[in-house]
Amino acid sequence: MGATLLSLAFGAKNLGTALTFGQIAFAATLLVVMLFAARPGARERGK
Amino acid sequence: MVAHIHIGGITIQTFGVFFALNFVSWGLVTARRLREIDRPVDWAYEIVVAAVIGGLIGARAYYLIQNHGSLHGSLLGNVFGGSGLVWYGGFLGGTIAVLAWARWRGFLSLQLLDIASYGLALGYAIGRIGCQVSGDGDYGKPSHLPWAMGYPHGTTPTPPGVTVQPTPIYETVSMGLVALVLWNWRERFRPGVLFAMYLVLAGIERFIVEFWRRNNHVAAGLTAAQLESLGLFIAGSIALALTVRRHGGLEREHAVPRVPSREPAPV
Repeated sequence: MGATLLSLAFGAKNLGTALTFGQIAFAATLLVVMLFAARPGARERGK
Repeated sequence: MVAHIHIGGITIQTFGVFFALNFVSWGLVTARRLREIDRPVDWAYEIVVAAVIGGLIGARAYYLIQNHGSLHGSLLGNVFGGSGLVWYGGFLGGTIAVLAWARWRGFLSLQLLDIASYGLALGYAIGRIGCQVSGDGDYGKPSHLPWAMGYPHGTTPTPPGVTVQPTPIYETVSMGLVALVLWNWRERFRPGVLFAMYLVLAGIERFIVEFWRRNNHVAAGLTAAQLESLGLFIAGSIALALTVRRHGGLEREHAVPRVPSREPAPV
């Protein structure tokens, strides 16, 4: 959402183009979460 | 959108960049999961290489079969041509190659399918960015929605002034969320359940998005991708039903509790 709004603020040609930047930011965030978020139940396992 | 970029005299296809990133991301997530379950991390790279080779062969073969009537020139020229990849062909080819690798490694198991599930969803989400940025024709029907857009400089350009539904964005968001949900459930369900859920969710997602895309109907008012999606949905549903019938439920017997207990631990 933030990337979309930023690209609109910086003069993206249209909302679709701005959403493309949002799409890229969404995928990058998703990857970071999948790589670095804690494993489910890690506390219970004591790891 | 930008079909290719020039860096230092080299032309790079933007679709290719995201196609590669899809496999790199898949490899990283797979490596993390293999580490979590005490398997060799190097297997992640072997799995990805097998998937790339099998996926490319499958995607290209499927495209050639689908378009055999409209192809010109020699068979070899068409096989090694610069465009024409179909996701379902890649899925099939990649699956066969990874299963062959797993058999060779002695890791042919439902656990492997579960590892593939969130990787496939994540890879699909990232690969669709390549479709969006390159404007390769995977966009939707003409539309005047506020977010509709043209791809006049895409590899399959839209006519001047025509705006269409940016369906690759819908697909990245929906399959990205599927990847996240499956990833967060990786400790919760019995082996094979995540992959079955992936089949169901991927089938539903593509079936719905196809209504906005511009693919031709082939039977019963549905596109080829919708028929294939139905196949995925049915296969996944049967697998889930069989799991429930055999084990009485989908969750593992010692699944990680959804809400951590607040009771004090016994002394």
